Amino acid sequence: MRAITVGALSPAARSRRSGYTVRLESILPQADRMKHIFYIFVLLSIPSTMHADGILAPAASRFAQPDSQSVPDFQKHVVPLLGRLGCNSAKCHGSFQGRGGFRLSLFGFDFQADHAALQTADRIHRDTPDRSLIIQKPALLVDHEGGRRFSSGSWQHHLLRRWIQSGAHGAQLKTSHMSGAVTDDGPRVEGVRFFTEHIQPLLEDHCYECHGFNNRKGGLNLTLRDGFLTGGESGAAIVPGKPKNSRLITAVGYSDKTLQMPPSGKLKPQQIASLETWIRMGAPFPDRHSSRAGDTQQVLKTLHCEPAEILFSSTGETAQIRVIAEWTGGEREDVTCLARFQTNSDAIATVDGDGKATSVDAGDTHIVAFYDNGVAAIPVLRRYASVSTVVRQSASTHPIDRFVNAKLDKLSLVSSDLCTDSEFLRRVSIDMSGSLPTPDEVTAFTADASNDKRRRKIDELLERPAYAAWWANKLCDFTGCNPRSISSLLEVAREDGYVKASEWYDWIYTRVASNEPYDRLVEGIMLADLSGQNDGMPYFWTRQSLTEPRETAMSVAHAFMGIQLQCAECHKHPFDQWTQADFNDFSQFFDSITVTKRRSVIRTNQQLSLLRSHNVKLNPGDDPREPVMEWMRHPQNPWFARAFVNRVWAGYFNAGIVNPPDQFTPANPPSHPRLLDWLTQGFIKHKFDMKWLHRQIAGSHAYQRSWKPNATNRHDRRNFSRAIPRRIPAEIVYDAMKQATASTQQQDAVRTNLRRRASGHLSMRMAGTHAMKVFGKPERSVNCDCERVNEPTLLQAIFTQNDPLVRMRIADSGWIIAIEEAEAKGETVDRTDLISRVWLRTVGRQPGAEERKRAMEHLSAVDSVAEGIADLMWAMMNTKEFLLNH
Amino acid sequence: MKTTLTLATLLITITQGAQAQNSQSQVDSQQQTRETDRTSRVEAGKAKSSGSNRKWNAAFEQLLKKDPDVRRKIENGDTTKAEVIAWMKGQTGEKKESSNEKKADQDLQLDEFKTRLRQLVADGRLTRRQAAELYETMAGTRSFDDGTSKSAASKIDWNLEYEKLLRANPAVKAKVDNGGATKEQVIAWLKAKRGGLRQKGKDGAKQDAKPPVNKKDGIVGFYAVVIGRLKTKDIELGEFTFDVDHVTSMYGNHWVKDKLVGRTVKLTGVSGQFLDSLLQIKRGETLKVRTGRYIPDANTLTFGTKFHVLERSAPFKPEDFGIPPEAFRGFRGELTGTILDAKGYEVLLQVSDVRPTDDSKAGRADSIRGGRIRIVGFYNRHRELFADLHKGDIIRVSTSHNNPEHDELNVTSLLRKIEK
Repeated sequence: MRAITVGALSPAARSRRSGYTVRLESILPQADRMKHIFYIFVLLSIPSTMHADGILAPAASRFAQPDSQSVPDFQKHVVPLLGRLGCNSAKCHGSFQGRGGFRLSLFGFDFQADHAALQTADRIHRDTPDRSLIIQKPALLVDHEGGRRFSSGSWQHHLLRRWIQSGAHGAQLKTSHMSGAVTDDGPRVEGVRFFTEHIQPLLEDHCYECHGFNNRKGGLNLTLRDGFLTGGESGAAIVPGKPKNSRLITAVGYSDKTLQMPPSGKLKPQQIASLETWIRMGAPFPDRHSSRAGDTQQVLKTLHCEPAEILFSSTGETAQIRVIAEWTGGEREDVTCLARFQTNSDAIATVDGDGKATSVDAGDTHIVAFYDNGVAAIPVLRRYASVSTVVRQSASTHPIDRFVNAKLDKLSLVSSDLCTDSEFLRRVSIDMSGSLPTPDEVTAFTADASNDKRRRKIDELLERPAYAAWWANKLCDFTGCNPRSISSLLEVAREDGYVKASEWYDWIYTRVASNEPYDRLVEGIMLADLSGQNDGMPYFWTRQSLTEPRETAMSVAHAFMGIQLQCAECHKHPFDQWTQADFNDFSQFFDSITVTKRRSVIRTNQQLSLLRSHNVKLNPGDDPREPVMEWMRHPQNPWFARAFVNRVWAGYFNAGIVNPPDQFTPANPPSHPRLLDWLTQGFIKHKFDMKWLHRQIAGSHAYQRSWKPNATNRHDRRNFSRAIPRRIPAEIVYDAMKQATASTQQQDAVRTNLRRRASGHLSMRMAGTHAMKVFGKPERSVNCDCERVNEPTLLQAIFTQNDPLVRMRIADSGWIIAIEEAEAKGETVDRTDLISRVWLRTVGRQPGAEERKRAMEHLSAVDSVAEGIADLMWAMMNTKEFLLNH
Repeated sequence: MKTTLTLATLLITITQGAQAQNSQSQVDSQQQTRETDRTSRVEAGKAKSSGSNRKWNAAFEQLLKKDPDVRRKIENGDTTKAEVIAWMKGQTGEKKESSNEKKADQDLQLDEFKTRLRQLVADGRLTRRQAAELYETMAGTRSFDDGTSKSAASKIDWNLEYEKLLRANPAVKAKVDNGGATKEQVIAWLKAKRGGLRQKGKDGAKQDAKPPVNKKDGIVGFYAVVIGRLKTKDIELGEFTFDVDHVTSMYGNHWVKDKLVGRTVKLTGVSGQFLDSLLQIKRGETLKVRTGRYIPDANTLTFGTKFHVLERSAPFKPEDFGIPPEAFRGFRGELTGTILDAKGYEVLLQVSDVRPTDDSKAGRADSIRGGRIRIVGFYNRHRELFADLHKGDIIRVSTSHNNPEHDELNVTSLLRKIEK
């Protein structure tokens, strides 16, 4: 028995029907008798399988009884059920080899292939459904390596049996997709089998060397059915059903002297006959494109969950999640029993297979539900325990702080106080300009009593070349500026790669320095003329590492939209909406440019789906990159501006609002969605003004908080209630060591000479050196922000203690040499001042009394002040305070 | 620095403080999780780059289907898939060799390289100009186009040339930095210089044989190993100067050697992990480096473009580097010995046995016994076996000292590894 919730409920006025209890009193508290009768009539008219709110009851209840008359749908019920039972997982039938001679598409969604597999693997007995292996195996009525997946007589059993009884139909395919092919399942399966047994080996042996694998000579790709139909530069390769009209048959028949394929020799007569038979059958093909959601009549419109948010208050508390699927046809169904669930942090909350969430600890996370092609995330929050006092956040009116503080209030988190001036100066100098402040700068800043000095410092830093250098370096990270991948020939032209990488860096640097709008900067890369005729940056496209269009597609998606498409290359993305069809279509935008490395224009008519946003029609001569760029910079684009805003945020907080910053998926929602929206909209409104973005973030109290935790936020790492200390990036470690040991006169020069800075031109030349490897500088060889590693390691400690580079820095220190020379001349050196300067040079603050005392003792114990200062410098460069940004 | 460690312990205690330690532990606590995640993502990303071998894999599969002998060998374990693919890759080289039997092995390598470059140009992966530049790097004065087309060379990226000049020539860079010359002026000078050189070439009697640049004045390819003592170094710019003691393993432009030996020469273009090598080499120590180009105007070398070598070396002694005694020059015949070094299709051999042929011109072939000799040219037919040669292996090899002025011998037909 299940309660149907209609408005606010009361225990009275119940009307029983079909095992459901309908409570009327609360919705008709004052209704007269006639109205009662009317409403009862209305409710009785609701089908037994339907909730009163128009939502189809869950399959678990509809198929609870063996005599259910409902008809399960392959796409809506059978495939999701197989997914929930784990049948199509990677370790079972979803693996590329399949299991027990039965293979399903990984994570489902290739409905045709799955349906064909169920039939060809003899999993279905239409006449005697209970003898079907799809029932017998998971119910363990026969041996099953995967064990029991459901009990005999369960709703799952009834659902599958009912589906087979009712004809075991496949997904409702769009007729347009099957144009020219056989639509009836039986002949189609037969046709696919014919293709697999006779045609595919033939193609692999004789055709794919030029028109498959990595090659598409003449623009012809014979690995997809669409490839046969659209053909190459000479036109369609086949006309389904009409072998005599097909160029393929003309070519293999050697009847036309100008068109003879394969060039190595004419095929055997029976091979040509097989090709003719196949075309006559309608050219059936186990086409990967058939898995696109658009090819089925039923398209999931939205997937949403109830409640919209879960607020826990104690450990062990539970909440039931309800998942509603809404299809484009308007049908809505409770699919909780068919959905899969996962928690993004089981330290905060867990969820079982039926969608019941349980609180584990204080904090916030998301529980994610998956069904069909939909992903829905439900925020789960639990206040930090034992906080009974009134929550007080910093008194800031900054919009960022309003959003951040709102969530802190919700979690009963108290933010840390603002950091000290010296902490702020060091932090913002590192994050914004990749540099340490000079001793004089620290002294002047801490002595400045004005209220707006932090704002002024931010403005000042944004005008420095170091700001442009550091953020150009970051943009080079995102866009994959790897010297080795852009050299003309990987093995031969080493220096050529560095020259080009430096040009790439300079190109971005110039635009960041002049604060060119971000969308224009990206446009310069996206639409670069490969012959260098326009003002663009072509090397993004001419990288030798991009050997196939799919690699270019992944690179574009990662670099400019922060999304990872890799999974969809082989199967439906498990945590996103992307299917192989989406991926393949997106890849084709970059087909020409990847293959030729010289031109991007296409030569044939094409219609491609642009990551589900809209279809793009392309004519010969069009540059397919243009519609991609236009779509990206559109204010409604969900990723382009958002990804950059999020990456800049991550540059200041070491964690994105969406984290990891390059994983924009519905399964990885932002920690502060409204904050991300506000920043994104502001960024777009300010015409993609990068400096506006930096000012907003660095000017917020959220950024300027101390790293020192209080009683409430010690364990908080994702709500920006305090600064999280993090190791400074590799390039900054190198530059900081150099700057700390430079002579007083060289302090400015070492910061401004970008040709000698690791965050400047050396970024390319030094890639691959021991120092950069140890401190996690990315090679820029894979599409992942995770390539940069900012975590501390033991090797780093060994490096700072013993590496020749560190020894060289101290031995060659202009500052220490000057002290040495002063001592040699018999001049008096101010030990107190020197000690202060050691601290100012390395950690950007004055030493404490105890530190000063110990340092003074050491200077007294060594032979010369210069030697003692060298020791102090070495020691300070080995402290965590030096290596952390805090 | 002796007291440093103790001091460091003290200071670390002072400066970290309890709270800083707490911060660090928080950073540490997430490291393992992130590392695991990162590793898996990076590995997944790197796995994507393995597609280049698919073509050979497909070819291998086809060969198995077509050739029962190969299939039988594979099934019997007589050979491996890797060996078969290597053999297929070597087919091109084999064919070239048979059609150019009378050419020197060096020419064969260059032809093969040129073919490869042309294929890359045809595939659109390389522009003609880039291919020409690369070819010149390897071949010195030889023209990529064999004089048949100069159009590629005429499409010069002058901005790139300007940047290269600045990197290679500190004097010019200093002049530009000081305002003594503008970028436009430098480019105009470059153009005039290039144009003038072309004109000289056109005026020559053998027009087709003329290189695109004058080898005596312009930048020339100089693929060689140069040995010398480090004088100064700039790690950040990837440059150093050294007093050159010897030049070996030269491929073309042998005249450059005379410009280097006994002089202080600058080398530019060191990058990546080779900066670590440079960092380790102290001033005054001997190093050996493989070069790519020579810029006569600045008496500057550039770092090699292939088979990179930059390492500390023992102080130069001719015999250690395989420079043959005079009485051995002109040798032809078989040598047996132990490999001391095998890189870049070259072998440094400690000779134990000498068997000259009748046409050997060595005055006293036995003079090399117990000494070292450098043998080059282990590509094409020897490529596979060379890949399997390591330090300490004993080999018997037939050689020919084609040009007695050179310090290296060329391998000819025989190469056999001898069981120890």
